[in-house]
Amino acid sequence: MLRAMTSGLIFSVVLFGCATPQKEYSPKEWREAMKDGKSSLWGPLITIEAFDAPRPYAQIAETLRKKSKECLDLTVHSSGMVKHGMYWVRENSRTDYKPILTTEKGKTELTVHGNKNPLYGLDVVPAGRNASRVTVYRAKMGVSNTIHSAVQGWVKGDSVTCPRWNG
Amino acid sequence: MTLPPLALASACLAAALLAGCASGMKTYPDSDQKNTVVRVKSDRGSFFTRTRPDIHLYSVSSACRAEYLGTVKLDEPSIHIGLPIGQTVLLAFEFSSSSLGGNQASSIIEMMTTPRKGIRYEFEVAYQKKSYSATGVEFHQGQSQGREMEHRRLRDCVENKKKASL
Repeated sequence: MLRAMTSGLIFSVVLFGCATPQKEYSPKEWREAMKDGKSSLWGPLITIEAFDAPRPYAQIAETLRKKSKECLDLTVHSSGMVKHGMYWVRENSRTDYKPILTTEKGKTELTVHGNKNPLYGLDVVPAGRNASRVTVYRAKMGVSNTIHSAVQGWVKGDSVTCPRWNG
Repeated sequence: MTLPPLALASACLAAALLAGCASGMKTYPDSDQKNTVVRVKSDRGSFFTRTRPDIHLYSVSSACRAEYLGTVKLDEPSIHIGLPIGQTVLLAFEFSSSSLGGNQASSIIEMMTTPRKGIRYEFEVAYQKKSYSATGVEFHQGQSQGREMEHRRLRDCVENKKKASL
């Protein structure tokens, strides 16, 4: 029961960015929680996928270092009219995105946080001389999906654009 | 309650941005020493949504405090400005959009640098249908090959200061 509740809290953050978990998850703990969550009620909404990218590992690691700082380290403000009972009121929100990139022992890990909660994870390891194995941890919708559209292009070498966060 | 330096810096920047954007947005002062060019590609949105890129400039003290200097509206394809030599400046590139329904949103990409004499700075700002970006290159005098500028945020300044004091 407790496990289901924890998974629920993590995925509500990943999907909607709307809750503040009591515990701050390390990138490793969050990946474990995502794996556990795949077999929970939230399983259909999350994806853990692996694919081979036709680029050398060192090249992908450098692209991620550069692009994550350029495109995923930012603040997004939004404001809109929301109906509360009989009245429309303006609601403001602010999300601070922060990428955490670690490279050690032939593995690069990127974890993107939004207001300190992990939202998106990507691991890269070498797969031969000119290819790399990529594993992605993400939700199938929401901001996690927005991040993935951009990061996938960087990893495969198709695109260098930053995600457009606010539509 | 004591705020940690990181939270304090973020709160300061947010307050400074609000002060700059909501009430007293002022034009960044013109300078004779124009060492910077900003090239802009913007699609300006659609009938239902208006989009706009701006740069808010701040001076950053050695204690990592940001002071609002002014805003440059990026409403022309090429804009020349002067960045103060020897003074750490924070360039906050704001990409904002507003729709007919009253919804507003903005994303802020920060870049911090200390301009030096004899260096020319070129920024490329793009605000297009599916993406936006802000990148910078610095050129030494007489050189056509530049060095890409790192994206450093104000909170990085605080983190560096914290590391140095440990």
